Amino acid sequence: MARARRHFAAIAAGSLVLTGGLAAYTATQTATAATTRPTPSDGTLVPGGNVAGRIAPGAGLTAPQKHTRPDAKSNAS
Amino acid sequence: MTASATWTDWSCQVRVTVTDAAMLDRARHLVMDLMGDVERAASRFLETSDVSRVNAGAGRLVPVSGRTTALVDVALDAAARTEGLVDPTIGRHVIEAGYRDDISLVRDQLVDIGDGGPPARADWRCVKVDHELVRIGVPEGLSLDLGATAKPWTADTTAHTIAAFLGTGVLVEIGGDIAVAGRRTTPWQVLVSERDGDPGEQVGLTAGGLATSSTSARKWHTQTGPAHHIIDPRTGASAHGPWRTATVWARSAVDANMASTAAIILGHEAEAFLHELNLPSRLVDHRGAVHTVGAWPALEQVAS
Repeated sequence: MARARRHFAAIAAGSLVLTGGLAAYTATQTATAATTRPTPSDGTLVPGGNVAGRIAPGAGLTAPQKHTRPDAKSNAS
Repeated sequence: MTASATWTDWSCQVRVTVTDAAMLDRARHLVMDLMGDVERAASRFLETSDVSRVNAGAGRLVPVSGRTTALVDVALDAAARTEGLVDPTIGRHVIEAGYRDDISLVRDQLVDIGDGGPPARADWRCVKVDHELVRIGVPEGLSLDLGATAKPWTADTTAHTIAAFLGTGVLVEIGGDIAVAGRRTTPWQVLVSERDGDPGEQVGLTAGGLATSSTSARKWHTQTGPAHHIIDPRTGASAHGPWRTATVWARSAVDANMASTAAIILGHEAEAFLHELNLPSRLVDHRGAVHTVGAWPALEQVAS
């Protein structure tokens, strides 16, 4: 289990793994990410950004916004 | 102004929401196209799919599409990273447990479980992928089921493709597996619950993926009692543990689903596992009590 945790943590700290015919897409995505890095004031929400309301650095979850209807649902399917 | 399209496919709700409403049609078609492609590659319920042909041809290498090798690579990667807890070779075990048809049909039946003896022990390391000749093989006695990874992979891939090529912020939801990509000034609001229609809990999602795995939706009845689709590869049977539902955030929907599935299988070890990985998580036990792990937003935290 310890080895599984190490494996998982190594990938979780990295990025999406894409294979096969998606190499071109991956390259484009990487280039896009490099040119859209947020500035401290633009409010862009990306991993590692510093946005008010974020509850933990690096995490992509925040507390809900008041009186805002959900955009999507995550439930058992 | 966001715009959304929703429809049903793969027995679940699909949603794509974009921040640039003008891109909605193209985004929707992109999701539909890839879902069709993935279904032709990986559906267990489509006799002509690559995975069905690989399973039917167990014991030899079967020609497949490049898409299928990519999907199997993702599944084997998930198996390696979870040390076999999320194993794509549980296909025969799922069938033996009674999940032989679309869940909407299986739910309404008293399912006869297999009487041909227990299948071979799941072992993802036995899967052979020949990337040069584009062929895949599984040993006789085992079969593939890519259910734990194909759905979130499709959500991730379409979200990132839409963001990169259409230049819009996007959320893709496929049966509770959610991926977001691109720019948006406020967090996506996601209602997390066990079943559609349950009250649940709302969270904000700024990046990555969110996935919910549960023993309470894809379940059915057999002569020996209830069964569900989350198979513990160590036993070959439906997982039995303290958690009936796990929701996890991770950097991608694939990673989130991998962790939520592993959490259900790990049972009592799940909290330590998720905590060690620093993955914000929400676990629901069989009495309905909610336990949160790591940076999951506390109920009293509500951003103004």
